[in-house]
Amino acid sequence: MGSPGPTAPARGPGPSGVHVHLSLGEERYALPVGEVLSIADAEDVAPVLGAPPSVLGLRALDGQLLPVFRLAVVLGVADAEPRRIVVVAHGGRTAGLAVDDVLDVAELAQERDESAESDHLRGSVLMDGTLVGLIDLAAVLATLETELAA
Amino acid sequence: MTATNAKLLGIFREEANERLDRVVATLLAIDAGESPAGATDALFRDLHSLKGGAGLLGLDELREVAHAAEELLSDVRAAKGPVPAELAQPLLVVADVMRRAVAGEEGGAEGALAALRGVNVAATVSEPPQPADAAAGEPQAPVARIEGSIRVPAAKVDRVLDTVGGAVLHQRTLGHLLGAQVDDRVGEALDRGEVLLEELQDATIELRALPLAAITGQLPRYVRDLAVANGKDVELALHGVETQLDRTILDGLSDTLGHLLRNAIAHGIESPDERAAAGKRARGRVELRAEQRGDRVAIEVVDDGRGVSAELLREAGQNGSLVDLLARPGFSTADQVDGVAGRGVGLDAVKAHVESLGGSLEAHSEPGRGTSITLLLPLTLAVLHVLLVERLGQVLGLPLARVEEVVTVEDTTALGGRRSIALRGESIPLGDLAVALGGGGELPPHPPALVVTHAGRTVALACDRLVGEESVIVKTLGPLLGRRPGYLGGAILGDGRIALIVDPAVAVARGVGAGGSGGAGAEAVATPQQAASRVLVVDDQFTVRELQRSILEAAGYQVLTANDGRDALQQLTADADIDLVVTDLEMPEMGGLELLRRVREDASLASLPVVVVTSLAGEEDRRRGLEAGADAYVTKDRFDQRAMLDTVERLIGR
Repeated sequence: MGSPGPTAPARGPGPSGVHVHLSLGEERYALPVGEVLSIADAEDVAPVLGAPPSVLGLRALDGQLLPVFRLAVVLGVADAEPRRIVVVAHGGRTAGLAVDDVLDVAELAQERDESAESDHLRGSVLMDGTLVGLIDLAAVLATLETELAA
Repeated sequence: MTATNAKLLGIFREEANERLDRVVATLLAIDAGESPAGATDALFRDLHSLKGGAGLLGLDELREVAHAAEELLSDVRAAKGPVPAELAQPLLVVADVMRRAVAGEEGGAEGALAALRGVNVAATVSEPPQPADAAAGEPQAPVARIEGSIRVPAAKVDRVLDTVGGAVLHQRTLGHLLGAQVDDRVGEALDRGEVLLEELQDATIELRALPLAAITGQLPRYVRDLAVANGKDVELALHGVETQLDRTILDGLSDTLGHLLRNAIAHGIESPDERAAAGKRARGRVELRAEQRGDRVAIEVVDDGRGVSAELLREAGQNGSLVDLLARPGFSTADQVDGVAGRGVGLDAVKAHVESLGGSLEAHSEPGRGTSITLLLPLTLAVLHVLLVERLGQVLGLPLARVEEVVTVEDTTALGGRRSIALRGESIPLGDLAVALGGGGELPPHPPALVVTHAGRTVALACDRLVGEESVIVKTLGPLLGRRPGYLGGAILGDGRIALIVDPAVAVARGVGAGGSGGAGAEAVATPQQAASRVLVVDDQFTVRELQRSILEAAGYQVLTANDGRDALQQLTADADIDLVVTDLEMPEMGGLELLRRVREDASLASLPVVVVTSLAGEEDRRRGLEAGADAYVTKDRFDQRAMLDTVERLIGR
């Protein structure tokens, strides 16, 4: 499990290595672009009474109802103010992940691989002196599913 | 398999099943001793067609079995008699195998062929030719064929419906955007557009509708098998099966109907001996009736069996309704669970399924006479008329058909920590829509409240304000949020806002919450001084006893009851731990006054607090009661329940 050389491609999936980079509070995270359907504004999200704190609410998208969740709550970190929604799809489930901001859609050029510290991250990379967490989408959705079924 | 072949196979399957339904229906009639005209020819034709279609599509096993059956029928035709009743059973086995083969399951051919081999047609066709069968020019059994219809894959219809829905929404958005600043002609055109689109939407929804008959084809056979397995004699009557239902609703209904029929036959209908002893016909009758009632479809399963026990009805009367009782998870009316009815004969699965469709369940039963279970289903899941309200910043919708009325909350009364409002002389518990959904918060003064009924229970649910009425397309909340209890789905309103559609069943069940819910401050009720003081309620009227029991139990007392003075005395002498007696005066066997005298005479009971209950006009009763040694009297007027509780508390404390 030694890390490949500094110029090796990212450990994340997908040959392109292109990721959607986003911010939660001061922290940086990334998702493979193949898992992202679209990016929307976090406006007009209707709250759902009685739902757990991870649920931001419902948003209309292309005539369908999209459930929107606060990614920060799932990851256990603090966000400032969710202004953007990353619409993702995995295993037949479509969901919106509310984040503070979407910074970039770009290659994951990293200087060094770091190990994963959290259940919801596949790992992390160091970019320009900042640690970027690589989100494990399957794990995030599984957590949400478990929490909502309770 | 190529796409064309797959499509052909699909069409063949549908037709084959229709043919098999016909074949089985005819065979059942023959089995029951009837001789339907043209049965031989009809059976032959269907089997012949099945053989042909199977051959074309390469379904060899099906072809083989159909061929063997067709040959048998050919022999019957040649013998010129009606189809003998003895042939019905083996042919039914064959029909089963064929149905499975149509569905793609293989391996049953051996059994079918064996069944047919054992039959010697010549020996069984012994009756002389019946005039009806042998006459030339006799009318042939009609082949059910609906002229001028086409088969359309359901997915195509769904797509049309979605698009139409989008168009309706678009029209509304257009209306909103243009707002009030349009001239008359534009306004009229917009209105006309809306009307046209709604008509289009209704027509499209009807495309998705199918008659109940689409799933009842196999039921007569199923009932026959169940009856045989249970050693009973049962006939099934179907009424109104041409009633239309949305395809999505129809989809899951088979299992539910099967469950209800199993219950009726395994536990409802008695054995022929029991029925004879009860003066009923030996043959039990189960009816499946469907009819449209307004914007709902009612499907009723009725049996003329033993009904539920009187004991159960009493328990049901105390605790809500019969449906609630029967639908308790794990509930069973049978002493033992058997293989046919499965684990428990409870209706919890049925109720859950019906409610997930936005419908409701009703149950009625008469001990000794029978039981009827009614499914009330919405005509369509697609479009719902909802009443929109706002609560804690969220727009919520309730199906308009489920809201009895809307009231403004003026005065409330409280009992046991629960508030109620008075509506035309009835007391209705007051709850909070927010509480029903798992939230909570302050309500404005004099809030609007929706009066909603479910499964025999009525509550008033308060909200912040009314928003309006709208026809919406209910959309699922998706696999993640869709399982949250309380919501049927969501809808995008004309102005772009999102409304969450509330499940009336959950709203009624949870809206009132535990004691002390909703609104500004519930009043505390006098609590008993000691833990669980025991009160004996004496009255010859069941309803009065139970009313007093519920009031006292809600206040924390443990309650025992007695029918009259004699019964009460027996309990008092047997049980030393009764703290207070509440008694009526007029009772058979031994009245309240006599009871009082005996109690005061008995040294061990002499100081027992006794409260006498009188009617309003009973001044005479009051005097006599006090003279006989009653500690207090209260009136039977139900609005004076506070007085009774205060009195009980005061006396028990001594």
